Amino acid sequence: MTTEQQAATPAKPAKEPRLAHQVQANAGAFHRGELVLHAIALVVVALLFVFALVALGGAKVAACAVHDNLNQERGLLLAAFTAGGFVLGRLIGVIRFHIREGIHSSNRPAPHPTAVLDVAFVLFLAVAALLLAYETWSLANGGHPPPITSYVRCAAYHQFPLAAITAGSIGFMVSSWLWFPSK
Amino acid sequence: MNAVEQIFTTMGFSVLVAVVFAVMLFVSATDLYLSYRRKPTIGEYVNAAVAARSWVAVLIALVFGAMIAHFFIYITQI
Repeated sequence: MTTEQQAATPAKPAKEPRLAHQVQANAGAFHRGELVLHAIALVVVALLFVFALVALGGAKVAACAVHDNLNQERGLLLAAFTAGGFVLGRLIGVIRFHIREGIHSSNRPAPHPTAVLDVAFVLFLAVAALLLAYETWSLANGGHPPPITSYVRCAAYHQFPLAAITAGSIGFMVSSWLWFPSK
Repeated sequence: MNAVEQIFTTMGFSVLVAVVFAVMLFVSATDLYLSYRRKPTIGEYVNAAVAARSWVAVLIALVFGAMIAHFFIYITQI
C-alpha cells in the first residue's frame, strides 16, 4: 500500500473491550449503582468506627504485654486482606473510569484541585508528620511510651475481624488514589 | 509486670482509632459527594497530580507496602 493509499484509507476505530463498551453504553445505570454502593461503603465505614469505639470501651490494654502463643498467621492474613483490597480498588477503578467516560463522553471535566482539597492534603501530611515524630521520639526512648507500631500490632491482633475489614478498606482507598486508570 | 504493660494507654488506642477512621470517613464522604455531583473523584485528582511524575506514585506505593509489611508480617512482636 502506497503512502497516498494509506492516507486515503479511513482509520479503523479502536476496538474497545466488551466490558468497557457495556459500562459506557449503560453509564447512567452504572452511575446510580455506583452511588448506592458508595453510600453503603460510607455506612460500613461508619459502622466500623462505632465497632472500634465499642471495642475501645472494653479494651484490656494489659493484653498487649502477653507475647506468648501468638499466631503469626493473623499478620499474613491481614497483609493479604490489604493486598486484596488494593487489587479490588484497581478493578473497581477501571469500571468507575468507564462510567465517567460514558457519562461525560468528550466533555469530561478535567480535575482542577480546589483549595478545600489542598487544605485536606496539607492536614493529612501534617498529621502524618506528627505521628512519625511521635514514633521517632518513642523509639529514641527505648519504646517508652510504646510506639505507634506496637499500638497498631496489638489492636490488629486482638481485634482481628475489625482490623481485617479496615485494612482491606485502606488498601482499596490507596489503590483508588494511586492506581486509578488515566486512559 | 512488664514495663510495656504499665504504659500502654487507652488514650493511645483512642488516637489510633480517631486518626484511621477520621481519614476513612472524610475520604468516603468526599468521594460520595464528588461522584453524586459527577465531578472528578479524589482518585482522579491524585491521578492528575502524579500523572507527570509516576515515580511519586511508585514511591508512595512502596512506602505503603513497607508499612503494611512492618505492621502485619511481624504482628506477634508487639
